[in-house]
Amino acid sequence: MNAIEIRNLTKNYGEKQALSNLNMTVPMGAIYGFIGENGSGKSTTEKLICGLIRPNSGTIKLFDKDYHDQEIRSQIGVLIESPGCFPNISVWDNMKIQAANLGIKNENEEIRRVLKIVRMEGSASNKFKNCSLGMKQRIGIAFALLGNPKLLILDEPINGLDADGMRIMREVLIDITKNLSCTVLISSHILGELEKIATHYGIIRNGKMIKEMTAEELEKECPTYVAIKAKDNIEAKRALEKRYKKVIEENDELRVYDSCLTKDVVSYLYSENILPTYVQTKKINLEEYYINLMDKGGTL
Amino acid sequence: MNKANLNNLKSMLKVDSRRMFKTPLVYIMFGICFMIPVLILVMTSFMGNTSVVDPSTGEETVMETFTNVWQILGATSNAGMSMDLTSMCNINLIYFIVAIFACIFVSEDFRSGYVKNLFTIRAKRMEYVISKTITCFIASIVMLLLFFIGGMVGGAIAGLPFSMDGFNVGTIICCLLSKMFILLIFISIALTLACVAKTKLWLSIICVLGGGMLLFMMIPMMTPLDAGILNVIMCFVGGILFSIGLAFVSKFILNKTSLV
Repeated sequence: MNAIEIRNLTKNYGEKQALSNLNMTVPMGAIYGFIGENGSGKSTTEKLICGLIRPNSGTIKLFDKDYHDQEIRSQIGVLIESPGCFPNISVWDNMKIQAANLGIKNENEEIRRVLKIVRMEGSASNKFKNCSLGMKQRIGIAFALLGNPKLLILDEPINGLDADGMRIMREVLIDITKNLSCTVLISSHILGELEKIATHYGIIRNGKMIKEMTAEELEKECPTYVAIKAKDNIEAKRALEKRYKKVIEENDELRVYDSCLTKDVVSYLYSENILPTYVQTKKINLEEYYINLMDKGGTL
Repeated sequence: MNKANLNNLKSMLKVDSRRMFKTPLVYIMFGICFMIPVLILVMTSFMGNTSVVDPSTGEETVMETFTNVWQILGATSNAGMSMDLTSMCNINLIYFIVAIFACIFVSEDFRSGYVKNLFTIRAKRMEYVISKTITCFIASIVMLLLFFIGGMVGGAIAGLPFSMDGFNVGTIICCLLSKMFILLIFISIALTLACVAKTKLWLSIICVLGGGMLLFMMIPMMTPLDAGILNVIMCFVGGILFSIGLAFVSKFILNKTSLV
């Protein structure tokens, strides 16, 4: 059973087509990294899943049921754009409002639990408007975690978080997916952070899903290479190209993709009387993979 | 409406009431409702019956003021509605205050993003509209009573007579009950407009003030000081029918438009 299954979803804002026959599958228990440029349709997709806007066509299923199902909807935790708190009342009262809306019985205990997770116990009495941006994001995450939801939808949740906040966020998401069988749909532009936690990825462009893959598939698609810097990179490149098929110069370094053996590349350069100043085996990360994919119009 | 919906509505009502009484806005509105009649009665009594002479024409105008405390609630049915101070500055001002309050109350839901949380976990728009109508109605009853109390206090300070010519305590109760039920009409209009305007509070306030002006002229006829049980029944039926009708309109708007 999939947590989210979207088929042929289309959404138009007047003349503008925000989503065009979007297909998306988020398996149960996954941390699904939803990636795309600004305006590519990530937030629109999330708002559609949450029922905040209506699609023009297509189907959305949550846990194999129609997304309008009341029982399913009560098991969703969301953080889209802002936490949705009233500025003039305290964090605690805001949490109580949300807990009551969710029909949580032991409100106080539950609020204490989620505030502890995001380390905001000490700020519960503060008015929401007096909280910093990072604190507001943490409160938003606490909001989403109320009542142990089965599905978390988080739109840019790590924006504005400090290093500690990001670490907490990472630990919380990994913990709830492992221990509470929660599924997480998370969109973010901070790909380095996303790469540390995501088990699945979906890349969207101009309202179309251009790639869906697991972390393992990404691993396979991200080749290892030997990064080299020499006194004369042009001469070194010329020499390397004689022996290796794929040598690319990027960011002042030469990347040799054909060989993962540093020793092999270095000994070859020595044999050509070229002295490398820097040698390291590296792997293409999600950010590089994504940029390459975008540069090539969606196909690698 | 089944039991689950009823429970949802109950918890939403609890949330809305809790939220309303936690925000400073409602207390500011209560304060305004109490202070307006006090200020009107006290200040007009001090300035009362002063004459102003137009220097160009030499025409003398005498400012007509309150001669009785109960004029703050309105006039008797045979006195009709006129454009003088006592007809314009009375308890009927409450309708505008209540409408503005309802617009702010709903608009804040959209501006804070609360509706995102609410409608993600609950899909029933009707529950939201009913809950908001009832909550605003409760607040408006308090405002009406505070305006009434403020009128009595202001009248006592200004030394105005409490004499009752052509009406009695019973008709005053009927007058207040009629005014109370008409509040439902203003609240429903304000809620519908706030659902249309969403985060644009200014738009809903302008529209509700404009629309309210049309009804404002009819209120003195429907709720005179010598109102009877028939006035109460008519206002009750009108208020209920209006609020039900507009609740469906609001639901339709919420269903068909984007909530963010």
